[in-house]
Amino acid sequence: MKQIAIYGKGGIGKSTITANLAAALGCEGRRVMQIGCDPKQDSTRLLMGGERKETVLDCLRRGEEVKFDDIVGRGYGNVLCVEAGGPEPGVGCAGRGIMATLEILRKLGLYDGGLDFILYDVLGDVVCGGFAMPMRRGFAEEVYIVTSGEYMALYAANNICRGLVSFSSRGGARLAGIIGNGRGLAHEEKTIAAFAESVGSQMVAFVPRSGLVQEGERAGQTVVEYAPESSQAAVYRELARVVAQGGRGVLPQPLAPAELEEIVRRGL
Amino acid sequence: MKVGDRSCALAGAMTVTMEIEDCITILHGPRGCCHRFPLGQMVDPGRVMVSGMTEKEVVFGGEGLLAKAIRKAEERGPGMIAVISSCIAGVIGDDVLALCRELKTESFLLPIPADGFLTGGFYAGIEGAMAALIKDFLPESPGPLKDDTVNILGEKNLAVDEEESFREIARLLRRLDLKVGARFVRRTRARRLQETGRACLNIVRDPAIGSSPAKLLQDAYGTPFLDGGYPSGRRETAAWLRKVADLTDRSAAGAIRAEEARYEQLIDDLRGDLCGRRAAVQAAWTGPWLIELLEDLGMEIVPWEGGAPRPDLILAARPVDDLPPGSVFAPLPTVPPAGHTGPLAAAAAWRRRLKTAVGGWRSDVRRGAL
Repeated sequence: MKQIAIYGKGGIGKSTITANLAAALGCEGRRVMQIGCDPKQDSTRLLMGGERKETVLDCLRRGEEVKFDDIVGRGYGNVLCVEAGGPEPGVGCAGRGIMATLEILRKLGLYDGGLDFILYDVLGDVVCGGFAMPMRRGFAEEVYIVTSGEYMALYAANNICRGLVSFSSRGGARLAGIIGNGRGLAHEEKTIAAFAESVGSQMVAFVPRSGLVQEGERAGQTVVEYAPESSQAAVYRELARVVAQGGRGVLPQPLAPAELEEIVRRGL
Repeated sequence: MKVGDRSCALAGAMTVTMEIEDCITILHGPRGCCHRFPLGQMVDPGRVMVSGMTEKEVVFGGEGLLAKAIRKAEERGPGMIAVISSCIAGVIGDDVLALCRELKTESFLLPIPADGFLTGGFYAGIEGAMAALIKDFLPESPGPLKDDTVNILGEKNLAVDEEESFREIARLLRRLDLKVGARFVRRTRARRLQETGRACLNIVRDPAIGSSPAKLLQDAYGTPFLDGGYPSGRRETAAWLRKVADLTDRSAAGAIRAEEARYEQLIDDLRGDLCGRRAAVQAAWTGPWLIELLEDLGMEIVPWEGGAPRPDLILAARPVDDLPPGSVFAPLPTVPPAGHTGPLAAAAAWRRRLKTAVGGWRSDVRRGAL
């Protein structure tokens, strides 16, 4: 079983990419679970076709024992879908919620085998210990960072690299690669590739901007399901192949702010 | 680390609110926070409640649970409900102040955002609780001034002999025709505290606890205060009586004369048994009151170690392991005993110990004399 965490700036397209990756892996017959680690609980929407299961933390809120069938949905490509859920915005501690979720999932035996891949789709930046949990020892061994060529997205990606460094001495996850998500910027692919190289990693895929993503979203589907013959779907399937093969996990070397700005400037 | 930082602000704040007899204290935190219940404080455990936060409240916020606890406390119709927040409530950002503002309750609701360790240690909690009481609970216009009434501020609520000390201070104040109004905050009811602003003087018992509210009360009501703590022994007591008299516009002469006469009479009686006896004193615990008392009794101070002449009495904080044969141990109080009565009671205890030691009544028993 391989555990993979997908990080990246909020709104950068992590959930879409993760869901398409899960769908592509699932279609190949791999047994996949996607865990949405975000109180917004919208990570697995495209896989579940609009159906909603209770979130793990809703079960905690009810105060009853969590049962597998309450929280685990079966989505497109037989992907098992779980949403951590979390508190209302501005209340409580969502980070602690992620820790509680992973503990509950462990007790349910999800890590005891039977799966080929567990994908963690983690909220935005590594803002606190809770959201760093999936990259700690015992959870994901490999982290992929999704970024566009925009400065703020690269800045967040760099911060996530710093998070990886702090857990490295304790056997935390390695950086398996950077996934570029195109926003239609000039020389964007080059900028992202340059960033990936600078931190000692590589860009494993570049997902171009495509209207099919929005069309699929409106239909509540991944591109892999909505337009399987499209070139966009082929990109996700290629990403799935690379991920399944296993990346060259590295300990990234985060950039100084000036270096990061230089990379963005060169791209323009 | 300072002694006062060894516990948290929640624990410190509790030592204040638990002294208000008609107040229910709610700790907003996990059940374990009750463990902070100060052992030295002998109060009804029914007066403390805990909201009982679990992981669920940590993730989703605990204000709802606290509101429930407040409602439950209200069913018992207390004069006041004090809410003290724990560190975990502070860490996740539960807004205890805002919640208490929103809730409509019959009982007066006093939020103390101690946030466990976040606002500081034990003394920070005491200070915060007293400040909250002054700011939120005491009336702006307390009523006419009482020129025969003083308050006691910052009593040592965890000290075992604090009540004896208070009684002695109240006795000395009566010599000046003064009475104690509010005890801020010890063994009181909420309503009594609202009289705090009417006293003509605030007397600070322990400066570490009482100086800060004394300043706040001076700002609020213009009440002067006497800092420095209780007097201990003959000289300090006379000086203290003079200061209190000055600050309350009266003469101390009569009170000092009467007290000195009383002291002389009591010390004369003790001197009969203790004069000429040798005492060794553990240096760290030696205060002016102790040296004065030993001198007034005509006792001889001899070295702690070194044999001859062998001390009759060994005065130390705790029993000594290698007590020289024939010497008797007596404990020294950790807090200097208050006024005249405190030191004289200590001397009376020495006399008892010397009399009951081997060679005293036990040898009399052996001789068949008793």
